[in-house]
Amino acid sequence: MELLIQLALNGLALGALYALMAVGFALIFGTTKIFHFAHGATFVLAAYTYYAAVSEAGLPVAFALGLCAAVALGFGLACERFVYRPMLRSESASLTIFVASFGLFIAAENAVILVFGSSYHTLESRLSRALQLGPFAISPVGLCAIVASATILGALEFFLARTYTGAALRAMADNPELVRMIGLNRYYYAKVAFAVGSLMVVPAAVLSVYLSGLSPQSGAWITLVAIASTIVGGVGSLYGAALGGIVLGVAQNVGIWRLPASWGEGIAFGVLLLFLLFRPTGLIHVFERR
Amino acid sequence: MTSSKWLRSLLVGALSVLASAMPLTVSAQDYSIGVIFPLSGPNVVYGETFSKGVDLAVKNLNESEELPHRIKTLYEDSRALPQPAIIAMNKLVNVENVPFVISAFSGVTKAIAPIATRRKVLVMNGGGVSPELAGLSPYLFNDIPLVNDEISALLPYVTSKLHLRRISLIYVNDPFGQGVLGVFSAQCPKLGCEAIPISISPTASDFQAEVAKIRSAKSDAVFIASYGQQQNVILKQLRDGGINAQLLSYSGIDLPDTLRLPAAQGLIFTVENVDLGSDDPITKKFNESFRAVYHSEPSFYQVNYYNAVVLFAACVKRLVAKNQPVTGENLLQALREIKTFNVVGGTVSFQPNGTVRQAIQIMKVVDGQPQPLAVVK
Repeated sequence: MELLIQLALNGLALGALYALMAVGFALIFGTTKIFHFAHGATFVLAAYTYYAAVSEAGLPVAFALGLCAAVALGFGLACERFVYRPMLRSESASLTIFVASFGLFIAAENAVILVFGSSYHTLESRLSRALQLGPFAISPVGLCAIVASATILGALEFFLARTYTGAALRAMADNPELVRMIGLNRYYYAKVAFAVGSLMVVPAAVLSVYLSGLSPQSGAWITLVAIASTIVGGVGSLYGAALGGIVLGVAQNVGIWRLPASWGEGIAFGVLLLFLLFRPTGLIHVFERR
Repeated sequence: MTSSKWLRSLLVGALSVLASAMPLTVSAQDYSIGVIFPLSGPNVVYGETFSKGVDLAVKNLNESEELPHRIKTLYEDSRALPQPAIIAMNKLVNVENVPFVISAFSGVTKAIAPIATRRKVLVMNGGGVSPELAGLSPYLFNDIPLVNDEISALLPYVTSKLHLRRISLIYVNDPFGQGVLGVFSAQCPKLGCEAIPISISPTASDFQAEVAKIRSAKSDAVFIASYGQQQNVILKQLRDGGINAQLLSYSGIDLPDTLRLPAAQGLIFTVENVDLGSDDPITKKFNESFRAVYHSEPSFYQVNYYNAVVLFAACVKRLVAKNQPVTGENLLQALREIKTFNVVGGTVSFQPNGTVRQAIQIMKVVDGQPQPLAVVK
């Protein structure tokens, strides 16, 4: 039983990171209807920027965090302004936009390989060493992941519920045509969605560097997790995406309680398959929320 | 200038530029050997390490003019994966017609072995250590002891001297890792120890769940059967996760960057016992030239790959003396006839299953450097 609780704790920390990635993806997809596959590339670029700033340039952590946020923000906004917006203006099909996004992802991944190589990198920190809490162990970085995720999701909820821009984003998600008819600039709000969604990647990327290390290939897994969390949670629901991320993180860990550890990823996606078959609307049905 | 003359001048000019830009082609007189290493991907660090041994041997042999023609290496990238390795091997044997290929990594060597048998090309593996490589093909030779020899040396030592009984085995789920698991399963019951197997994917980088399982198993030791940078991530996450058990591993962990990690301190691992202090001319030449060219101390991997080229040269010399062409079949015949070779670190001979028999050295990492604990013959 101790092992099961320990695995659940690990799953919660991992799920918190997945939730941040998933909510960023779901926010962009929900408001713009753009399947931003390159969201994983934002994660990889942010993580490598932080790694290079701290490990290779020896910059202070606060400065590295700022640099990391600037890169994530810059990449997200550049995708929106120079790739998706021209395609939307020329009324490209969703599949074409998806292929462009996929191309962006591959190009960014290869750029990272070119600069940093394709090996794994990790950062040493006292904060990644586990604290013993009775029979259980959790690292301060794992606790940080849970606290950061809860704080950021709370702040996002406040932003969406209590600000004019947040209300406009929700309106975009509900009825983009109506938003255009009442004179709001949908490209401006798409830019805001990309900015907020891309910034949400930053804590997940930085904490992952300490928790599990990074490799250029990790972006593909992260994108898959973000997509799967959005589906498991319920397409269109940000709460659902967050919950989906936590469910996948916990399933990936708890699932190996009695099974070989290499089954973790398979179990997580088995959960996705079960949802697609038996509850395709996800954990939180978007219509139930309205 | 008429338009036809102008076009002709342009064509000649373009051809001259092309000819000057093209790399030097392999002379028909050269002895071409294929090299299939990971030159990209997460295991590129091994490719870089191994190629230093091959390149140095080729340089030294070409400068010595011991052979009537120069040796030319044709590198192909395997990314340490079977599928690209098969493409590389097909190119080397079908297009380049090489009679001799140097390989690394168990999965890669296992994948190219059937092609070697079919096309009668001699393959020398100096890095893959899966027990499955023994006797895999009459054309496959391993100038590195396989991991079963390493574990057979390590397990009696750690069970009798260090009294480690419960050993968690974290292994990559591929031919190499499965080979390691097989050796543990066979040997642990005889030695009174218990192996707790935990398989991982070759591309995994998050081992929090595995660490939780190891902590729960209350193991005395953890044996890491992985390779490349993944080993670094495992070491860090084991120590970060509060695992204080004795860490054990095999020769694949003997990479300077890995041994310098704080998490690697106290690690016990095995390597083949190579006497680099020997004063025979081949070893002296290797030591001197390695330090002169690379400004560092050689690893045993670099010795293996240097020796792979030395073995090829010895076989070629024999064929030249007998006025026979250098083909894979003739190289195999020469290798069987010579039996014992003078190489870096002394002499070497192959067992009937194509693998060298060598003493194993047990090492412990102290202050980032491997220190010898014992030699098992």
